[in-house]
Amino acid sequence: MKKLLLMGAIIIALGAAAAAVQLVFSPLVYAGCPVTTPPPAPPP
Amino acid sequence: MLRPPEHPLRSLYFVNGWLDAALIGGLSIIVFVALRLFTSNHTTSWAIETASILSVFVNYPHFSATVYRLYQSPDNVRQFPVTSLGLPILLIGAVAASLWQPAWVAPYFVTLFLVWSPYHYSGQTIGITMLYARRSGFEVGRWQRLALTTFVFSTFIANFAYPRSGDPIMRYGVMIPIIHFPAWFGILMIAVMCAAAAALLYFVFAWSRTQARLLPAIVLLPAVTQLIWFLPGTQTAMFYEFIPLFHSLQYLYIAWAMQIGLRMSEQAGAGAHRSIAYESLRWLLRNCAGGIAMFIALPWLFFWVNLPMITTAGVVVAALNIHHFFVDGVIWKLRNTAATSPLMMNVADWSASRVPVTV
Repeated sequence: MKKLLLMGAIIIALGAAAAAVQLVFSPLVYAGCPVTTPPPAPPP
Repeated sequence: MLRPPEHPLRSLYFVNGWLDAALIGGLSIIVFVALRLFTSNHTTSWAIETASILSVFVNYPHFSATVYRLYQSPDNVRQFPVTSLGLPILLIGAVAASLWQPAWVAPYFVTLFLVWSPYHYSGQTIGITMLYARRSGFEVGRWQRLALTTFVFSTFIANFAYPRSGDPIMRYGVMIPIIHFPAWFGILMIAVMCAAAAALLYFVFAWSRTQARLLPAIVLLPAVTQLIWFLPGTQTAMFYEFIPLFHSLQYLYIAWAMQIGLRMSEQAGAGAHRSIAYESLRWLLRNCAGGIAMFIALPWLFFWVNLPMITTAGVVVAALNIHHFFVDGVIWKLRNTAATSPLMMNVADWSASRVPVTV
């Protein structure tokens, strides 16, 4: 149980740190482009 | 990809009806309805930022999961050497060419990614429909498959052929050439889509009558979900930001089931004792780390290229996506030693492998 909580905490901490870095530095987020597979077409 | 079940299935669902339905498309439909009803049709920065934060936990791991599945064992690499080893070299060459000639090569490289992407979505929709059809005992013969694939691909083509302005558009810092379709083509594709939907529903009703029971709704859920994503979904600005997230969530769920099914089968043979929760978190942690490396760290390695960062990042993202599309085409064909295909198992089968479900 302790190990599971630790792994969960690591995932959240790692993800939160990465998301913060991405929000501050990612040019794609600035440009509003989805950073992964985009949907088929932009809204007209 | 799938073998017939060797023993009667305990359940149609991997975990249970609610969770399967939510992750396969139900949740996305609820979010779509809510955003359609309660938001204006303009993207706001909170939607972009929320989608961006969630992408670290869902979108990026979905890419990493394919990489992890292929490269986690040398045997997998040996089964598909061209995809495993040749493709990365080819893509490194394509990235180099795009960065060297950003005006001539990059637009076509990014366009390839943008065109292939909805095709990939469609392939996933068909794959998941076939999976639940098999699990529910719905036989997909030649004509049923034709109706299903025609319906799914026509949503993609109808969306693609939607008339829009003739000017090139800027995506990922490069000018994307516009593919022109005549106005009638979009209408024709909508008609084809409706005809295919009618044929598919006919097969469903015929099966239900023969079997004296209704076809489980989850079999049709992926196709309905794709219809919403591709037609009204792309016209709903706020929801549009979240479509990749839901596609990734759908994918991760099936990939997780595959991974846990494989691990539990192996461990049953080896007598190892690890919980499903432990295996799941270990798999998620690895894929979160892998996704962050691929989508946050890797684009920054090109900081020295004398181009705007959005262009270099866009080209790298295109390469990662194209790699994903190729790898996704082979990982479901990998041979495994388990007696039952992991995709035909469910949580009861996993826990029957002498592994505690909860901790």
